[in-house]
Amino acid sequence: MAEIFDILVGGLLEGGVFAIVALGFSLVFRVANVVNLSQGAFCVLGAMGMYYFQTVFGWAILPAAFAAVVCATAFSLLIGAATFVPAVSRLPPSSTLVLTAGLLTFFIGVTLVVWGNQPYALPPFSGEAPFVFHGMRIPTQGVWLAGVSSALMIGLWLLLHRTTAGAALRACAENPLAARLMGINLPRMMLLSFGLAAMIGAVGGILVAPIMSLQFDSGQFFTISGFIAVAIGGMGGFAGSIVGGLLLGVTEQLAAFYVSSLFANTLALLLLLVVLILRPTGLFQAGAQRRSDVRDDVRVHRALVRLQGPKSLGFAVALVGVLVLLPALPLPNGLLPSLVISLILFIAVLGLDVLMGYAGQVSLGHAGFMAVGGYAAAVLSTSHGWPPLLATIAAIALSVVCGLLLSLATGQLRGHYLALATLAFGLLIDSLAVGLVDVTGGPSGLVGIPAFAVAGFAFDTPVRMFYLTLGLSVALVVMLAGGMRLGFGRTLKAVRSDQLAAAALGVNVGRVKVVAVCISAALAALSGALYAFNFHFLSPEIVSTNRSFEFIAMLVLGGEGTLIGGFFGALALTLLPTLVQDFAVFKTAVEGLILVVIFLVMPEGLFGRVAMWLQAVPLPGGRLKRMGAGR
Amino acid sequence: MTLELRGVAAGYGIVNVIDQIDLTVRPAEIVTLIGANGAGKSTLLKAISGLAPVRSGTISFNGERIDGYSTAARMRLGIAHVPEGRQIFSGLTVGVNLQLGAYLHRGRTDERAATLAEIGARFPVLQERLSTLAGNLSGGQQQMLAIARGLMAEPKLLMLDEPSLGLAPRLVTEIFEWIAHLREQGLAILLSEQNAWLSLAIADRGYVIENGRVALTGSGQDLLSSKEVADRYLGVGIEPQNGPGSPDNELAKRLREILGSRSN
Repeated sequence: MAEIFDILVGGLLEGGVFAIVALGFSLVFRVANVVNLSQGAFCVLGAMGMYYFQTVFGWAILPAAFAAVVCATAFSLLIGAATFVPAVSRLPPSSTLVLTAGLLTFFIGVTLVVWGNQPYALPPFSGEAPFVFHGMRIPTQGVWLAGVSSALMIGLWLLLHRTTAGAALRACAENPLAARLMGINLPRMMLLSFGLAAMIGAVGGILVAPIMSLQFDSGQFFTISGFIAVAIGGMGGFAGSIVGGLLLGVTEQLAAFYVSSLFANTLALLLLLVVLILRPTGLFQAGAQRRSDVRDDVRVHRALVRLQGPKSLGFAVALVGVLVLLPALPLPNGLLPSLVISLILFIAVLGLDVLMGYAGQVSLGHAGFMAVGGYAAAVLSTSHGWPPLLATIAAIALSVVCGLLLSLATGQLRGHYLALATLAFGLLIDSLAVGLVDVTGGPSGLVGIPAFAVAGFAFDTPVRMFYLTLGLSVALVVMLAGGMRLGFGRTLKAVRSDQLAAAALGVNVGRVKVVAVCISAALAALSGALYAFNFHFLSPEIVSTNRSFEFIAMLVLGGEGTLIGGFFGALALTLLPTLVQDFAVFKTAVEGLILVVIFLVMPEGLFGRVAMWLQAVPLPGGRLKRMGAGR
Repeated sequence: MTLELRGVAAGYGIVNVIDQIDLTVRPAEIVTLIGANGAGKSTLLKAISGLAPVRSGTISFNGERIDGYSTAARMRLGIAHVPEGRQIFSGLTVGVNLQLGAYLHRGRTDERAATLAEIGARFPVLQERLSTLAGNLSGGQQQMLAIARGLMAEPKLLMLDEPSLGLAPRLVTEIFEWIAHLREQGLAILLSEQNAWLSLAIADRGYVIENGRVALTGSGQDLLSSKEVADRYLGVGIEPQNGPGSPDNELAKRLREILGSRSN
């Protein structure tokens, strides 16, 4: 009995923080209609400030906490004004969602630079001795947590429902156009909600730091947990956020105690997927839903720049020619293996481009398919002795089945909810890779994977792998470029532009999306299998959600909807850390920053920029195609 | 209060939807814009309220150049825009909708309460339903709410975009009566309407917009009796002024009776 009480208290404590993060999510979602994935990072920023003021400078608890919250909020206001607010007013919500993922990566990177990779813990506010009530022990920090989160919830509710500023905040979410006509300064309201959410997050981080030890990437843990909480409870509802957070905390603690701590996440994610599929709006009816028929002519889809005609052919031939000759040149040590990695990742990015760039569906769980493919190929070829080629084909088939199941289950979901379901899928696969120790080797990974081989010819040197991956990439690009010129490509683009209009023209939107998901799943699986065969090793970290975010960064950096663009993105992000090894600690921050900046200033991507330069070269027949830049 | 547009061009993307627009609205005047779907009437109103960027030309309000101002700054000077399709905050209550209408005067609580009382007296239907969600009102009530919300800002110029769209003829008359009444109180009104009969009947002056340019302008009466306007906007074959007893024609006649001498 005492045991279960302790578990429940532990769950409520953990859930209290999730609930606070979820409150921040709900607030920003209600005002800006965007899921701000950087939310969890503010907890760590708050705790980090607290650590410096309290432990390093030796301030008392209250002034230290106050100063930490002020600093974290001020920092978030600066970042929000520079990135989030312009993004919300210029980009479609799906791009803003990805941009906030970039912000999260950036904050994690900043924390890594400041804190290094050790865990930090703060002393509890009221000492270590628990508060004893009828023989039941409650940590005093839990009392603080419960008190402060209730106060925050009540305060937020009062702000939104009892003040004119709150009414204005709600009006922005309801109808941005009309809000502007009331004289409401929309960007200021977005910034206000972003800053308030950051403040709430910082408070949560300070409260929880004495209970859990935090480290640089805890922000991602908080974001994901808070997001699961808010999705279970209902996006945009405050009470739902709190209940969802507590429910999640208790579920995880119970699962960790009765099943296995490795599966604690898996069960929570399954719960989330079931909720998303059965009741996308959450268990509790969220407050105001934004009217979907409100047109917002300020935000347009991002400009896609593609090369067409002889110039594209010339460019492709020149690029392939240079790449084919590369191994013959005296290359610096390590460049060829890096090129192999870039090409392997490019194959996955290619799949993501079909889904995101052409069909316009955001996927935050692309690495999940890479994991399915990689682990299936690795397990089949090591434990079951299958030849690598056969194992790869089976892995692709399995991944396509997963894609099929996922897209059938989530067929009714749109926009944020679809993006969130894909995130949940990626996390679920992630947690399975960690949890199924007997199959996947658990956190330490699988070793002894053979090299890729066809009919006895092993691709066991970098040069051989290079030609294999180059050949596969070229073949895939040619095939997909052909497909995109045919009716299928046009239907994908129609779905991207306007699902309703596409359906009205007789496009079977559901089927098109399923096919796009399957293509992307197949390519990700191929990439995963090649990765495993290339390194003879696979661990959950390699195919984690970070990898999903990295794929998006590569795609966006290279240029969406161009097929070939992803190669430049993959190349840049793979070579970047090898070129500046002394600055490896900055890699994460720089990656996040690149994603954010590219979204804001160069939406056409690296390849789009190259295409624009090539366009300036006077050659007959070279046509540049610009899409989606109209109203 | 005088609104002056000189050579205004505005649009989205690379296309100018309106171009070389010259237009004036004087105090206590109803000016109506008529034109087909897509002629640029809504874009013209958006250019004035700052929702559509002005590419060239000038907009001035009481002699002050406003085309570089933010929407909020223009609202503060006394311009209110009731957009097409009502655009009320359907998930908020009627009361909060009205409260937000006076958002720019949020510091002046007493005045706001006085305006609210005045509006409540003029729109008793809304007064009764202050705590109802705005989305649960009927179409006509929503349109009244949209206009009332615009009035809460105590504007000097009220711009109404298609206030009759989707309303029953009876409600249309009611709304047009209000519009006429507002003018009596000294408010200037810029009205965009596809219902040319009605809007010209109550208008002091009108502008016919075609392909983003002013095709014709004149007093409401002149336009109503113009052969060109009759053919294009009132119905081919209808004799100006002496059309058959179509519902619109009847309504226009009733309105002219209500408004007395102004339209004759």
